Amino acid sequence: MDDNQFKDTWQRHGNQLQQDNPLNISPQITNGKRRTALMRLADRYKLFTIIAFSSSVMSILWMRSSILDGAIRLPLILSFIVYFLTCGIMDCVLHHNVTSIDVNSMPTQEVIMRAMRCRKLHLQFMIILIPAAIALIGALVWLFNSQTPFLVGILAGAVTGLIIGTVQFRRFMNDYRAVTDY
Amino acid sequence: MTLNLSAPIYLRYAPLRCVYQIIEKICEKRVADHQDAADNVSFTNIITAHSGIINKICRSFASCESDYEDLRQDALVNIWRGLPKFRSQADLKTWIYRVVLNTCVSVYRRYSHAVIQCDIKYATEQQVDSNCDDDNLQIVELLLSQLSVSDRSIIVMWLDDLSYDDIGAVMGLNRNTVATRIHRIKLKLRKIADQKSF
Repeated sequence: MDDNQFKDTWQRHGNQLQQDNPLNISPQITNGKRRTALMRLADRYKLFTIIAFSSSVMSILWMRSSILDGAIRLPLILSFIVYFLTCGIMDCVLHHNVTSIDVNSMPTQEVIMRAMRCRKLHLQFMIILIPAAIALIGALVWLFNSQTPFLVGILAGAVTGLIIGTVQFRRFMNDYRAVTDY
Repeated sequence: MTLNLSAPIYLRYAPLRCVYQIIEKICEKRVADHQDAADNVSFTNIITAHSGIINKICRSFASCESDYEDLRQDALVNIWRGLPKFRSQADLKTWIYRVVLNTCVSVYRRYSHAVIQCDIKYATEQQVDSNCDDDNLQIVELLLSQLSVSDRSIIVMWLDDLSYDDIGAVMGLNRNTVATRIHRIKLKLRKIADQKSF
């Protein structure tokens, strides 16, 4: 197939598609209710930023708790606060990066680069945060190893967190186009 | 409180000013509604005129039929949102290419078992279409699917006879780079075609 044949086929394909699939403009588009995948991604990062910052504030409430002993209380609470703050900052950075992609004015090359960078950053942040989460859960298990109800609670929380984390990770990655073949 | 006596009576007193502002807002909203209706008409006209471009590009980037429909709707949302900002800019066709391509390259891809099922169904549908209409079409789509996202973006514009300058403007590349890239992509396509013996 030569260049002209290639072009002819492509252009006829366009005319054919135009006849076969007329564009139906959903009313949700014109009333602004439909969200694009990029907007959904930004919304999710925003939600996670709020959750992470709220959790770091909530960790301070542990100071009043009588469950923890005096010596370990402060370092543990501080590590939880630092962990959630880090999560919040990372989600905030990703939210900022995703919202900075302007499909209406940016050149395609730049959009590809930015989408790639966001996806890569997300994975890099996960590499930092997952071991930190495991270390924190490990510290809690070590602290409460003699109290079975607490241990059950910690493990139930860890399993729930793992399930929610996996589901959310899949949803995040589904919303990123795999542009690694760039 | 200073009273501006030169102002009309309805702006001199707070309660009257409030009523005036409310009426003004209602009037503004009516104007805005009217503008929305006008925007809606121009949007529909633009979309109808360029639906071939939108369909082709979304189809070439979609992995399955539902992915194709999602990409199309996302592209329409982005065109609708970007239209008020566009007005003072250059060529509408080039801008449509930019928005649709950017929508396709930035997001959305499905993985997993469901996708494979979806892809098989999509491929079969495409095969049926191509058997009825054009055998070359299947070859073109297959060749395009072998290219990277960036290369595919360039070649779909070249196939639609866009000038090197326009392709460069959409991609953010200079004219010479576009020419070189197109030459390399053509070589790549020839190699793939030879390998698959088309």
